[in-house]
Amino acid sequence: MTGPPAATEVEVTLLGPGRGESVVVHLGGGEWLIVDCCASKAGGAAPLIYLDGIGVEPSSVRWLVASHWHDDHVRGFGQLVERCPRARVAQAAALERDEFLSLVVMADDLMVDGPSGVDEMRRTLGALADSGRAHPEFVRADQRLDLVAASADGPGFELWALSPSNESLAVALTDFANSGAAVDDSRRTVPRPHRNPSAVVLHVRVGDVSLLLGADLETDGSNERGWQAIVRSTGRPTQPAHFLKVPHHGSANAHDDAMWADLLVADVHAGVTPFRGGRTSLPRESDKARIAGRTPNAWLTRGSAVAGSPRRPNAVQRTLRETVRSIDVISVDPGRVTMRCDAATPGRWVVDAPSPAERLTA
Amino acid sequence: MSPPQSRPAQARETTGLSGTDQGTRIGAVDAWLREHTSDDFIVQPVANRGPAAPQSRFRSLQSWEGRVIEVCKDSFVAVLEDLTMPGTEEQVELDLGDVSPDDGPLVVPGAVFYWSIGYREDPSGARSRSSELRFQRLPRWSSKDVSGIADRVEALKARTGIGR
Repeated sequence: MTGPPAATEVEVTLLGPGRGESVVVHLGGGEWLIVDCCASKAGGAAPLIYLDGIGVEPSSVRWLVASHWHDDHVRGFGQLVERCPRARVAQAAALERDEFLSLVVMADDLMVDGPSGVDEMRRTLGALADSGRAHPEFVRADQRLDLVAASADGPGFELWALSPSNESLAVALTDFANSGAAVDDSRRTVPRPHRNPSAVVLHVRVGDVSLLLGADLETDGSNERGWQAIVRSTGRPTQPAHFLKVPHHGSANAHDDAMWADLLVADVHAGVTPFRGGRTSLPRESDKARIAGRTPNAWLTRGSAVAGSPRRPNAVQRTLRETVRSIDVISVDPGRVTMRCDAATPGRWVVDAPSPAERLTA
Repeated sequence: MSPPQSRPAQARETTGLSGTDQGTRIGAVDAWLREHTSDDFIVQPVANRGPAAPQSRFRSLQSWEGRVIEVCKDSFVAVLEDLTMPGTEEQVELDLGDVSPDDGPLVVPGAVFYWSIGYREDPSGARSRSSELRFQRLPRWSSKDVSGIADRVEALKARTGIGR
């Protein structure tokens, strides 16, 4: 797959993990959607590097969606906004509230720079304002963001947000409030969050092909939040998806039986991006086996989220062996899985998954 | 970002753990030590060297700037930016026992530290490998800082059109 897809083809490309992950979607007719962003090893926005490689200009990007604000999903997102001049931007509704905007202004000069993603959100807002564009669409569950009818130019598409639910938004606001500054506390970075209640899940229909892009949405036992809120919704599109971006790096706490049964076709094509953060490494072997047990058509963008060690002086290597419990390079070029099919023949995917991507097997 | 403040560092040398130059530890530091250090962590007494005592020198071979992302019972996880080979990002898990007792209470998610591995050479010429961690002491948020946030949020909303 060296050139761009045909106007009648839908394409999904998963990138990650570089410094983060991203999903790049051809909506037909030369229009593109980018969900989240990751940086290449050299620091460039990986989705734009990918599009440039197949001959697609940034001006072809119609939508940029930040599924949530964590640094493993929005690294380089501000750069996307700056370089895609006609793209509309969407984020979760929680991000327009004062609780989150307080973190944004604190990140300007009251916080220490760090791995939180808030800086990218600040850069995003600044880029939109500086270029005279509207602020992001702040979206919530069962909201249709875009509808383009089929025409001679392309098969037409619909873009829906399936989350966050109102209850999830309330949880997110509580988390924001607890992450802010308090008088007499030492300055620090915005802490890396441990949960993703306001993640934006997308349903994309291109012609007759549907995609479910699961972001980092988890399950938490409530029928009003997470995957159960989506499954039980009466306001969402009902067409089962032919492609799944597996939620939250394949973790067990993002798995929902009803989601697999009700929202997806059998033997759905699926893509997973790995994650390494703190002591957590996803997907675990048990996660890979569970996903492979659900579909024979699942791919992992990279076998491991980490790269080999850089060359160091012998004295440093010996001291590291004596001193650290573990040390891994996490700045790597992202792996890639690309799937294409004609928008009129759902399920007939052609898959391009070059190493280090790998297929999950039961 | 401001450079790290000059202060004694906890060093783990191949010959054992050195102490800090501060002779007295109180309250929070003692409690932190009891909670986070293993039985083999020995705080060594520090001799009074006197003003004219020659100093040892540290020669760095590799250094990182780190940000704590997770604190566990006896270790912490951090993302490291390699200051010797810029552009390389690593994730490390280190023992809390390798942090200076004075710096211990600073080890919280979001904290910033500097880490160097190199040689420490004493005035007699003896040399040992050494790993030295220093946590940055950052200014505290003032009531003025915090009370000004609401105004800045309103300014941001006015600039971007959010809420209108």
